[in-house]
Amino acid sequence: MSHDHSHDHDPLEKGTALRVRALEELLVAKGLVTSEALDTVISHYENNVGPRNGASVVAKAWVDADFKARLLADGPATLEALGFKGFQGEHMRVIENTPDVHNMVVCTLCSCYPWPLLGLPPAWFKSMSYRARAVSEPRAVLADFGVAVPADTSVRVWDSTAEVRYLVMPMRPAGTDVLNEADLAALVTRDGMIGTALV
Amino acid sequence: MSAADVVARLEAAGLPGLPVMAGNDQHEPAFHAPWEARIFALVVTLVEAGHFPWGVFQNRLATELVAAEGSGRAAEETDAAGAEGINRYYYDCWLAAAEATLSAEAIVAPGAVDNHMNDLRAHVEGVRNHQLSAGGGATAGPLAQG
Repeated sequence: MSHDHSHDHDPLEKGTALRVRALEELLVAKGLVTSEALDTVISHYENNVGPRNGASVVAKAWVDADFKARLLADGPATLEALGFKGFQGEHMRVIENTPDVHNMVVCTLCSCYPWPLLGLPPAWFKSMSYRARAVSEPRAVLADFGVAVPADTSVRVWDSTAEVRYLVMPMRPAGTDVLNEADLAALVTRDGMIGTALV
Repeated sequence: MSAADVVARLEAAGLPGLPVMAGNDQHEPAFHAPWEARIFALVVTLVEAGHFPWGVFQNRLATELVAAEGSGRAAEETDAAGAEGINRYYYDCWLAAAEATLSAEAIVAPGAVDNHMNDLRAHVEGVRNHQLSAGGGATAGPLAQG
């Protein structure tokens, strides 16, 4: 009995998916990982971590000057006290936007990013174009994101690495004195904390 | 509470609307294909268990990205499929960096992944042939042995 040899009906046979499955099975057979452990990691990054974590930190800093001072002075200890720690969240440094300075973050080497506070990076953060242009022409990149930084505001670009990962604290919007911490957190965007948006 | 809700409340209170960016919640799938999630989780799990340091993997990832960008593949995938294309070559680089690291750390022998892929292909082919012949009669043997 003949059958179709195109194999299109079975995506497992397409190279990369099969290769990853083969690698996983080898490591499971060696007892180094379990498939259930991988499921847990994936579920965590798909469901538990994301920019809402970072937004809650920024909003807390906006309403609590003491907290803000501690956060800017010692990011790792202050964030760990809030329960934000772990993989890719070590050595966090929070940098504050002011009327004089706008900050933005890039990882020129690959995609270093504060996972516990922002989740996994968006595709554009990993793109070749952003990683190169954020350094060579940051104002043009900001303009592409719809951000017009005044000429007398300086733009600082921070290069996240395996050692230090940066989070931008946006300026608190004017006219939000009536808002509480939870409402303020809803205004803080992911891109605002990368520095490619204003809040 | 979404940003839109907050802005609506501000406006209801007679306050000016805020310069909130469109698409405030910025949801984007972390992974565009299951294998991207698997290789991500494999590396994270191995690093957390101490089999190799993150920095060792990250250096190789950077090397793989430079190669993908130098070959023109990164630009092609980005042009062809946008965010999905970026994720595809990006996690392909994770796979290549993971294999290079596991090989260098003598955790997985060179060629072992290719050999196991061949085994898997043969297994899938065997299952298919078994099912096709089973459809015609009672001659099919057991699904798998050994």
